Amino acid sequence: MQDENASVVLVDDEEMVLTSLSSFLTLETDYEIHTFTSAKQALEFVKTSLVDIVISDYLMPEMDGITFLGHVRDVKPEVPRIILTGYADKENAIKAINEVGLYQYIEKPWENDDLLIVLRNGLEKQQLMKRLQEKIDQINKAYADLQGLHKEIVKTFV
Amino acid sequence: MEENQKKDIRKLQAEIEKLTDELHQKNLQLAESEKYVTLGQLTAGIAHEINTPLGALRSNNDLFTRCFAKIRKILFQEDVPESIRQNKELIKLFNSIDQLNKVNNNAGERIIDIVNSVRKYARQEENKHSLVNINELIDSTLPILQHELKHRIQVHRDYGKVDEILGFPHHLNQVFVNILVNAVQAIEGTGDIYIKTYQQNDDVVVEIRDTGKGISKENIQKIFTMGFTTKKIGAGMGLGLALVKQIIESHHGVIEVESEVGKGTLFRIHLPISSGCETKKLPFFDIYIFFMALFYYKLTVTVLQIYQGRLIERPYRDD
Repeated sequence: MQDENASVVLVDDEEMVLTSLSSFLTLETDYEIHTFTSAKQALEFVKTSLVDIVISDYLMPEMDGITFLGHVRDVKPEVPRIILTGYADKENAIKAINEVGLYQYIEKPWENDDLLIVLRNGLEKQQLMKRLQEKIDQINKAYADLQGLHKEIVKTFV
Repeated sequence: MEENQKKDIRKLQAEIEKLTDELHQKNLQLAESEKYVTLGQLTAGIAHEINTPLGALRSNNDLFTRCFAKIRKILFQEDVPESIRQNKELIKLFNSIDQLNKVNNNAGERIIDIVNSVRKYARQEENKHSLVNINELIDSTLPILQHELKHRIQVHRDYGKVDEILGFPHHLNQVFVNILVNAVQAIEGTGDIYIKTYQQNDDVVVEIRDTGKGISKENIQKIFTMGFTTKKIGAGMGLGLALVKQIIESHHGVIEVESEVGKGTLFRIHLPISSGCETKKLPFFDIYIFFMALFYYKLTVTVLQIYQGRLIERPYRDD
């Protein structure tokens, strides 16, 4: 699958969570992992680099996860966005999720296997959307060509 | 004359004493519930704080398991010299590591269960009127009592297939915690607690039986009254079962008790299932759904027609 070297952005204010997540993903996948404890720095990275999927914690001191992922959507709408939320703030997170249009939420403490499945599905969806957009562009171009050709034919006969 | 006056005075004195007692009880009740609120907030806060390092620990444990599995694979593949591949010490070490990882994983899961149970129990805000699966609710109270049960009391669960009930999960939680705590305290030394759930027509029935010291015939009438307790002064408030009865009745349920001194006690709780209660269904809800479906069907068909019209070009167009 093309998502072998996917670029994954992880954001959490707790260093130990980032270490756990990145160690796991480095061990079990070939993804390129980029970790950030600051949402602002993560946003800069997303703006300027090739990114395939973003996972962020919800409760963070500088900027909360929902706000951050909202900015990510403004900058790169085609990138799937995933939120990590603790048991207590699950309800608030779910309400906010609909506003920002997230792909999925993962509850803390997370199950490594579940995380992997969610990531794979998210990347697959992103791949499919990309191919779909390419096909739509191809169809539009072909359609335009067809119209052009059609006009030529009509001109010849009229 | 004086006799009558004295009688009246004595009567009034008795009234005042009774009212003062009631006031005192209410004050204690208030203080107790305030204590629980702060305690609840505190435990919720602690549980939340534990979650992050817990998540890291659990994930890392899982990671150790995976890493060792990979190392093992590399070390025991065919092209590795036999001195390593068949090294007894190495094999023993890997077996130990496997066992330890398993234990760590289980320990981690247990901590997560306990923390989740405490959070569920301590959360006041999440006490909305909702559909409750009684079997799951009772299960969620057990980890909290694990400490009390430990090795001396065995819990036997016989859960039947039951419909969901409409109620306040936090309150219902309290009901079962209170009854189970009573059961635990009634058992001196070792014993058993039997929890059985089943459905009887429109009711979900929960039976909690213990092999404890039982309740005497003279006391059994009084156990649900506020302030009744057989514990020493300061050990119990006598509010537990009164609260339980209040909660059950507010759920339109019934609580029964049977007991024999020296043999044990059985609490039987009947709670009506959700369809027995009023649900907030919109009137003509089904007809509404039908029309919405019809609307969307028509919309889809129209869109398709427009789309089809665009692809299949009409031969001449006004440019």
